[in-house]
Amino acid sequence: VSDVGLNHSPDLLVRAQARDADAFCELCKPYEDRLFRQAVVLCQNQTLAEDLVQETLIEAWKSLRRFNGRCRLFTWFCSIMLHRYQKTIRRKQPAVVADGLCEAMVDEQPSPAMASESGDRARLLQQHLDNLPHKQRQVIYLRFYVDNSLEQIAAALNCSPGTIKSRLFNGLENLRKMRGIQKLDL
Amino acid sequence: MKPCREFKQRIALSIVEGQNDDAMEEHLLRCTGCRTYAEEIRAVCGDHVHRAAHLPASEAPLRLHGKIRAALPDNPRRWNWARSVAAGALAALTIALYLFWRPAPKPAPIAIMPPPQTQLTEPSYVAYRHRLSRSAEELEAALSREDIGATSPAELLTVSSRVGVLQGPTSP
Repeated sequence: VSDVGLNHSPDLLVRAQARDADAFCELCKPYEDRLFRQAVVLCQNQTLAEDLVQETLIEAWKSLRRFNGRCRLFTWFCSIMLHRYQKTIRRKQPAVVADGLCEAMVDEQPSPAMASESGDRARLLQQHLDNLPHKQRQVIYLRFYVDNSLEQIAAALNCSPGTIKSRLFNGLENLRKMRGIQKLDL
Repeated sequence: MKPCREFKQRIALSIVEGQNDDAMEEHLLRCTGCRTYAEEIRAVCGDHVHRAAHLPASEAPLRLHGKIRAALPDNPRRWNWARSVAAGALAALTIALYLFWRPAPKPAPIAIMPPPQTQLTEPSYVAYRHRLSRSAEELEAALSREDIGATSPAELLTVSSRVGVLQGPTSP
């Protein structure tokens, strides 16, 4: 997953940071589909995902002046989205699996049985992610799903690379234990 | 068999980052526990890399962009020359209307002074002295006019009663 084609013009960012709402909307538009896709992965529900993207971008608008360009804008959006998602989890809002989205996470027109199996796997992986401490989940998510380097993640989360490495290791360790318990065989 | 404690983080990070670590590879050849651990970490990474690579191709609903724009405030209006002229004209009109319609200034309050005292109802000490001195002058003038050199009290009373002096300064 790359950021190719999603580079924004610096002028647009400057205008958006100067509280130009139209410029901000223009800036966000190319990212909306990708953000929505990531939100669907997290929420596993289109309605919740839509709300999550909306909340994310409004939060991004409020704090856009704090974006310093040390990481990609999409990474920054994703870090905000994870923060908002954490709040959703705290509120114990059930991530209802609907619309057959997990079943849609299949390569090429699978059989219903395969689709069901893939859906179960996706659901289980998401459950493992949700069970991680928030800081570990942020790093794991940004590393695997947003495909960022550790330096980019460190910049987005405003941490040192050493802290990010430590969280990544602890997150992987916890996922390994959960996987061993669940006996997930992919 | 458990993995070596000092190698665990090194193994995990080298797998995630895809970096070659010759010393670690050599260690994995010798250590079964670490080899098993590395396989488990690879499986965990594989799960999520596979899932990330096959995310559903969801597209954001068309209404989402409109909802986001509606949630943001409107841009502040730019101040241009036309607005400046309009504002100036409005201010001038307001001032003109105020000057035209302003209420007439109230006259200054007139101090009500007591009427001047034209006559003294009672003789004052000064008036008495003045009257007395005038009477003495009149008496002296009458005496010199009539060429009376006498200074006896009887003669003085006679002359004074005739010229009307020394009758007391009771009335000014």
